[in-house]
Amino acid sequence: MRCRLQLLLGLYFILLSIASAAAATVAFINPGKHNELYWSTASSAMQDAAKQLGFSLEISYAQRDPLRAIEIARLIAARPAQNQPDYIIFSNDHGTGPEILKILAKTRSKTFLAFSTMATPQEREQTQGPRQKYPNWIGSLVPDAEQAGYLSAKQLLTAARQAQLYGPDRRLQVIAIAGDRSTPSSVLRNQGLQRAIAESPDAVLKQMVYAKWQQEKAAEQSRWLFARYPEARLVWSGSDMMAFGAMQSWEQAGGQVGKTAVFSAINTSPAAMAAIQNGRLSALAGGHHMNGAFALVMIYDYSHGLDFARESIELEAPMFGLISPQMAAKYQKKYGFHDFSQINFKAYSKYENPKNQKYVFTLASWLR
Amino acid sequence: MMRFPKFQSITRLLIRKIVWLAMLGALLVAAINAYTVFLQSEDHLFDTMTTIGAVYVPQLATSVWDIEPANVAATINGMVENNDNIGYVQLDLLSGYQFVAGQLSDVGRLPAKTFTLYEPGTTEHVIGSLKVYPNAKAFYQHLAFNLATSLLGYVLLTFLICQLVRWVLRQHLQKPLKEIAQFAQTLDAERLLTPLRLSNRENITPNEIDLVVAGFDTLQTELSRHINHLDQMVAERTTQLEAALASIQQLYITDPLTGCYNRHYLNNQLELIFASQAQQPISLIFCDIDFFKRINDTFGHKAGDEVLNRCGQILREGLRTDSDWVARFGGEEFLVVLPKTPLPEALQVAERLRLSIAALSFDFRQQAYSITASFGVAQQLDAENATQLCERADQLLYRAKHNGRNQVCSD
Repeated sequence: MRCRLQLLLGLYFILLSIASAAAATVAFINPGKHNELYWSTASSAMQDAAKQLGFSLEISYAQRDPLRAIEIARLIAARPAQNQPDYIIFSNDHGTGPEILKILAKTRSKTFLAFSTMATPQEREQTQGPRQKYPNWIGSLVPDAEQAGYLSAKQLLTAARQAQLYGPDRRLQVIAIAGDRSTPSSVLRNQGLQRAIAESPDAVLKQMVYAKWQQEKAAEQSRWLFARYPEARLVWSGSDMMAFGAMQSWEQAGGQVGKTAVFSAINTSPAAMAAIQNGRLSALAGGHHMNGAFALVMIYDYSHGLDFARESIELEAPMFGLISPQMAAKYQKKYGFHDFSQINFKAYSKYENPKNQKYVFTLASWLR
Repeated sequence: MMRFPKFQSITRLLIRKIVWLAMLGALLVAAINAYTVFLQSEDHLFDTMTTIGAVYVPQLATSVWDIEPANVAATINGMVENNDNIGYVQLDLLSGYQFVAGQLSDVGRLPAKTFTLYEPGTTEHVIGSLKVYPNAKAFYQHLAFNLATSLLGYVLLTFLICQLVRWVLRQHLQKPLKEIAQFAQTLDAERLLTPLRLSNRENITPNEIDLVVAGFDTLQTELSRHINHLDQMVAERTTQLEAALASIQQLYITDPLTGCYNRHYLNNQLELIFASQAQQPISLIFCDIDFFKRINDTFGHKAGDEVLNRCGQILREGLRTDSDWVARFGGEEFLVVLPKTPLPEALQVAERLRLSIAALSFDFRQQAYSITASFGVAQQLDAENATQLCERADQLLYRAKHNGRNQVCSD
């Protein structure tokens, strides 16, 4: 029995080495949970892209535990050099980026930041930029998270104006349920909301709370907020799950979602797509789950000698877009089962398309 | 020291009194201290609670404002767990929520400190109130510990001071007093004038002890002077007394008119002489002035006294040795006692005395006259006593008178 297991393992390593000889290997340290919709969708898109681009992709989930993300990096660094992946994609969720970079600096792998990059001055000072303090850090690609917050807020205000949800002070009173205080993508979305409010003299942000991306916590906090601000009728959320939590509280308090109060969200989950179609959500922004897949496109070009540094080694690309009910219907039809194989990822490659001057990773480019 | 059945050294007494009084004082001070510590502790407790509140209240207000119930609960639990002074915390929010931590039973009867929670960044918008109750058990335990250590400190300090006082008293009081007491005890007549010298007094500024020593010195000097004076006086008085006594003795045994021994002396001495063998042989001479009554009658008693006086003088001066003596027997009769004298020598003495008396001349109003005396002489016979010898001598005197007077008769 034992003999057979060893034989199987031996065979597995032989196959693995043949595969690595044939294709470049990529590892992705996924900060989310494996059953969390957003992060599993992002993984699916990456797997489809890897398949098309000829990468062997290995995904590990940190299960939203910052220490676990660091632990995964340590495990990779502890492997023998020949078993270390050629490329490692990771995110700076909860400020784990600098530590992960430091750990992976000892490996032969090239590292690439996606989804969230170094945002605070301390992080920048600690890590400097790609290819400086840590030469194996080759670059980063992040979505325009600020734009996501801004677009969803703008659309939310428009919907509220149409529904005449002004308070006694003749202003649109907004409460915001944000993710957390430290993840750059969260901070940027909040900044987008604040920019939209600042542009609108008829709107006021009453308060922003942090629900840690959790539906239950969002429900509890919004319950308090609705009591604290009985005249607020606009609820902006940093994610779809938190928006659903707030809706739940609103309905418990006797309100009608989409009518007596309007809600906005960021994400492209089936539930969010359904909510924008049935009018429970008044604004929805999404598209950033493609970040990992587009990062693979940039690595594909890099591995073929076409360095993305010519455009930028730290790229912030407009990936977010507002999703209309029609677009939501189309998305569910095309990608409802997390199958992104219809997308031709090589079309985004500069190596494959020498005419392309810039990377175009917009929502419109794959959801038309 | 053995003179008293119960003796206690003054140093010991002082030390005991000091120890008791100091302990009493220490307890009193400790009690006052305890009371002030208690008051201060209460103040301090409420100050501490105010400080703790000032630290936690903004944090709690932020958590409440940010709607972080888990943080709120953790914070007030932390208040109780991390601060021994706090027994129970109750947070009441205006929204109706309530958070509590700790045990209400730990609070006792100590009052709560109430803080108001405001919306962060404002001072008007109240969002709730925080009641902080002190932990009575911890408070009283802490208080008891403080009081116990302070009491122990006082007692130790007092004990130390008492030991020092004891040492000083021993050094400066007990030792010299003991020496003085021993000196006073051993002071008898022989050593009365031995001076008192205390040991180890060289480097000490004189004090009462030295005054006592000086007093002893003065007393001894005075005493010595007084004793000398008394001795001198006693010697003087003794001499005077002896002189007076001698004079009285003389008067007692002497006949004042004649200067001869009196009958009383004669009676005493005669017995003593007769009893002594060394005085043998003894001869007696009885002498009687002839016609003395006629002289008295003719020339008066004053002339008679002069005759007696001059005769007595002749008899006393006419004796041979110091051992011979003469006594007035009575009236104009004299008895001459001659120890260690045989009859022939006694006859010679008597004869010489008869001639001396006959040679005397008297005058009364320019009329001269003379006198004579008759003598009876006898030597003691064997086994003859004084009375018998006197009787015999008297018989011989009578014969001399009878034979014509102015003559010496013997056997």
